[in-house]
Amino acid sequence: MSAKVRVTINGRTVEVPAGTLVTDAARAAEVHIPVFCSHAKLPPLGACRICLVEIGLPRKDRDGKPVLGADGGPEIAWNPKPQTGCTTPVSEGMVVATDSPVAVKARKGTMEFLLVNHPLDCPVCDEGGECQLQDLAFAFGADFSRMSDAKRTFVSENLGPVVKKEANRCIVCMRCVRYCDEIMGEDALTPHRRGVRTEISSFDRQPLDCEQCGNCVEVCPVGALTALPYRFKARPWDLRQHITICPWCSNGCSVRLGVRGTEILRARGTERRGVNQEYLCVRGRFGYGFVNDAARLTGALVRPPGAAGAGNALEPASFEEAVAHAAARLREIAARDGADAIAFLGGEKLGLEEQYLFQKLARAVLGTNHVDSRTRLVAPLPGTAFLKATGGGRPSISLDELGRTKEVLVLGDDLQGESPFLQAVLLRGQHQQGVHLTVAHPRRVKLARARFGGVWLGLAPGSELALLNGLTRAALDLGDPLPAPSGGPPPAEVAAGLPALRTALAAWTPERAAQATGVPAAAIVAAARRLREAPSRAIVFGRAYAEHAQAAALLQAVENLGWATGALTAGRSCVLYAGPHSGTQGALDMGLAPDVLPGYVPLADAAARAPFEKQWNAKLGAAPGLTAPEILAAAAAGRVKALWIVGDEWVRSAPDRALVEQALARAELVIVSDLFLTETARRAHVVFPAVSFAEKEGVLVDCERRLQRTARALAPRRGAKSDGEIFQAVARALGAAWSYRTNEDVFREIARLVPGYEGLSWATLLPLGPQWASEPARVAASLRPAADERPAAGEGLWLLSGGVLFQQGSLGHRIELLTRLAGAACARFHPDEWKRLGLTAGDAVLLEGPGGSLTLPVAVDESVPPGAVFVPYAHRDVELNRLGSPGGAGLRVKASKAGIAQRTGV
Amino acid sequence: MSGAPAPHTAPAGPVGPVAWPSALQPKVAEALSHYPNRRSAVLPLLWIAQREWGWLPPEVLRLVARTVELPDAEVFGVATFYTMFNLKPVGKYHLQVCMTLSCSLMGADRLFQHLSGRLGIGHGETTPDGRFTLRRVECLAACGGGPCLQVNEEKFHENLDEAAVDRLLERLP
Repeated sequence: MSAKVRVTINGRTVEVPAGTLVTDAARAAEVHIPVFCSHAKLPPLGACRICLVEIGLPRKDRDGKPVLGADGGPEIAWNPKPQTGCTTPVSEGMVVATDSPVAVKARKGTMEFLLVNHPLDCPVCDEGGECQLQDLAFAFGADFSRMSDAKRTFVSENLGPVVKKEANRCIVCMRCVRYCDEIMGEDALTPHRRGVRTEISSFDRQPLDCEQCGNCVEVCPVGALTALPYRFKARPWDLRQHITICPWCSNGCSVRLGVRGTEILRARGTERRGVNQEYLCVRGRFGYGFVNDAARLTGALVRPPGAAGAGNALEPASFEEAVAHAAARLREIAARDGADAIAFLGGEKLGLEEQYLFQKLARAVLGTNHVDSRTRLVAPLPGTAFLKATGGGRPSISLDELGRTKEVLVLGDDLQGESPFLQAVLLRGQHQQGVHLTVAHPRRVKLARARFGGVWLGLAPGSELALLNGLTRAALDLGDPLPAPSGGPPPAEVAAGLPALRTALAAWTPERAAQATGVPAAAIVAAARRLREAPSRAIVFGRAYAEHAQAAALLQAVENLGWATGALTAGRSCVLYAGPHSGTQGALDMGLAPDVLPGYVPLADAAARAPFEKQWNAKLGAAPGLTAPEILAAAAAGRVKALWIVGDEWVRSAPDRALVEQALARAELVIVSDLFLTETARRAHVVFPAVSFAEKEGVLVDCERRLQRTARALAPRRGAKSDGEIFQAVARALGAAWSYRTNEDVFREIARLVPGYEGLSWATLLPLGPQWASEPARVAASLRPAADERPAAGEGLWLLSGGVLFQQGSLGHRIELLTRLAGAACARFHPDEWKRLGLTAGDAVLLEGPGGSLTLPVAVDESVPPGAVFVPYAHRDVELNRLGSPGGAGLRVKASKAGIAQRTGV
Repeated sequence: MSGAPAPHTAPAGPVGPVAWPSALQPKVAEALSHYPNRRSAVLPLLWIAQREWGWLPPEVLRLVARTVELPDAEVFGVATFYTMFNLKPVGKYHLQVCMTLSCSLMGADRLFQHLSGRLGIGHGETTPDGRFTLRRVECLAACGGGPCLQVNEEKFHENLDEAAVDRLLERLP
């Protein structure tokens, strides 16, 4: 496709790759060809005919030589009829006219037809002002209609809580139907009837049973589909538009916030912008209500010193008082018990600069290395674990390229809940690029559905490690790790580790792996072969492995599989970690882990530490601090006395509810910065009111390690401070000479100091920042056995959990639409298990784990395997960590019928 | 019969998932066997379903979708595209009056008005007793015998006038 052809459009000649469509070539020539049905993510269709242009080709003689005209130039043979620019590829010497009488007449005629039945109700249409039909009628339409008959009309419909349909406005471009099918994999919309009576609607006009993403609304070029939550809220010209990065997961989608006054009224994507190129999921599109929530904190709170207990409540304080109080108490505890009695937690939802300042405050100002952003970890993990499993910082592929790899293995995560855009990338790839999917998940999640043509490895819960060992062994049976055409030979550590790994995996024959996982041996061997032999492959994992009790072994096993299959060496291949939050990758990059400084510089390395000590003017401890689960235990035991928790509902996110309550009760000082008075904040001694993603600017690093600028769409809520301001104020109160005026100042320091970020500046990150990479790898590779076979904690059913699309974090509880869509949290059982427990609809079930119990309503779900129960973790009523921390290969719970369902918890 | 037609209350669609009756399963398998992929059998299966249930209630459309492994919505779209699939219950006798050119010239419209008046129902409506559904249709390919009328799927009646139609209605059991 690299061959270039020359094409002349309205007299402007441009050179474009062969196969480019006329409409795209026109864009290169800066000529406007209007389109409705054509969309960057959908294959050409040619349904609406508005892009009709006149096309000519050089006339050729019998020998194929161009015939020259009178002026010496090639003679052009014009096609007698106008052609659709959106379906016609360019060829050498093509001449296109969009302004010739034929083209103008064709466009006017199309416009007249499109307006035959259109109601022209623009004054009451939400699309008015940003409607392509309105714009093009303005540009090309006639000022009168020759039609005297009544227009055909349809009844308007609400297709569920998100989509409003006014079919009278529809021009039947099919964008919504095709987007829903090819990119969302939902097929919720379909044309009803035919001809002039064609109407887009759902099955039997039922409310849409789909992801409610609203992308159909987004791609609708007219006002036929509009978003109910935004209906009649604003005229688009009244809105300020700010493009920033969505805070809901690690995929890093660009989102365009529409702001009026101090309120966000809507969020949209933008075609041809950002990694997502217009796509947004339901959370990204409708999940911003928390920003303007009346319950936001508007001032600091301080618990007055004195005897704990009754009457000793949090009281409003000025920001300065809170800072002074926090600093004084931190200083006091550090002086009395040493800096090791202080721990900093959270920060996965902060921007890069704030993450950098948070650990700088801990390390350089207070002198503690107990810093960890990964508050949900069950097992301790080094700060380099995720980077190592994904190749140590080797160049990764982009999400766009991921959608064009040939074989993708998704491990453990239900991407619909955890990384909706990643799921859309893979579904579109499957549909349009022939991506083959292999999904290893105990539940048959959406990506594993038969109609996406992939393979579902429905492994038994707790056998994740066995499956990875079996796959790796099967891949190594096909030969040594691949030398790469583009990535160079596998590192020496890989070659060195190979014999020991082969020995250790000798026992993991496909048969044994099959016995352990319940996945047929042939399926394991075939999956390994596909991964190894595909022209390009990717392995995707996320929170399910990160928060697994065997995470350390699993991440090593993922790395082994990466080397064995070529995912870490071959071109156009990768291992991708899609973390849980927008700042997960940035937090690790910025050293929010106990054993590494920003840029994964090991604390123990004195030479590498030196530049930081010089810049920060501080002596840094060489010994690694405690990881999040260790901090939890140490605080509960009274060894850690002061905790600073940033933007994290630790009471819900820490793996063991009883332990976290004990830790918070026992700690002498708990500082929380958050948007709301969360359950964690209620137990704090100092609460700082933080600002939301929309009220600050900075940088976020997404799961492909791409740096992207975020923009400030709103002035900060009155009384709230950005986390960076809070950290700086406390640092200064503690005597540090910090003087950052903006986050950009902080970023300059990062770009000066942090390996991998050298030479970057905010200016280089627009419109789409680079993916950071390093050669040689930032973290050394290893190939070593991941032997960690342990039984699960507890007895009874396996507890399966995960994020679901509509509820993924505690901020989701603040968004009425999302909580309504999510419905009640249910414990979901396979029909067999349902029968065995004697359940009937409307029952409740009592789940008892090693740490406590939960009562939940029940539901039947065929996607849950027998012998297990699925409970989504993020619903408000589910405090899953009350059951206790998983151990070994997972958590098992006892389930028993508990009468009629009633709401539990707070 | 006179007055406005009461809403037709006869057979409502099944509630909850339905399955192919065992007697139909060989037919379904045979229809599927005619094509290289399952989705191609959607029209034959819709016909089989309509003959079995008389019309295509939503649960039956879902059954067809499951059988041919297509999304429910797509099968719904197909069923609505073709006018001969009944998406509402029809009466025991589905009277389809051809309204295309030859029949129209020979008085199809008068015939339709007569039927409409006699049965007290309009286009697409069903008599309250569930016996008759009246519908205008496009060309039935019996142009030499217009005006013509088709009863259900089987029988054509040609060269009709009001009297002939009256006799026909009385003859129907």
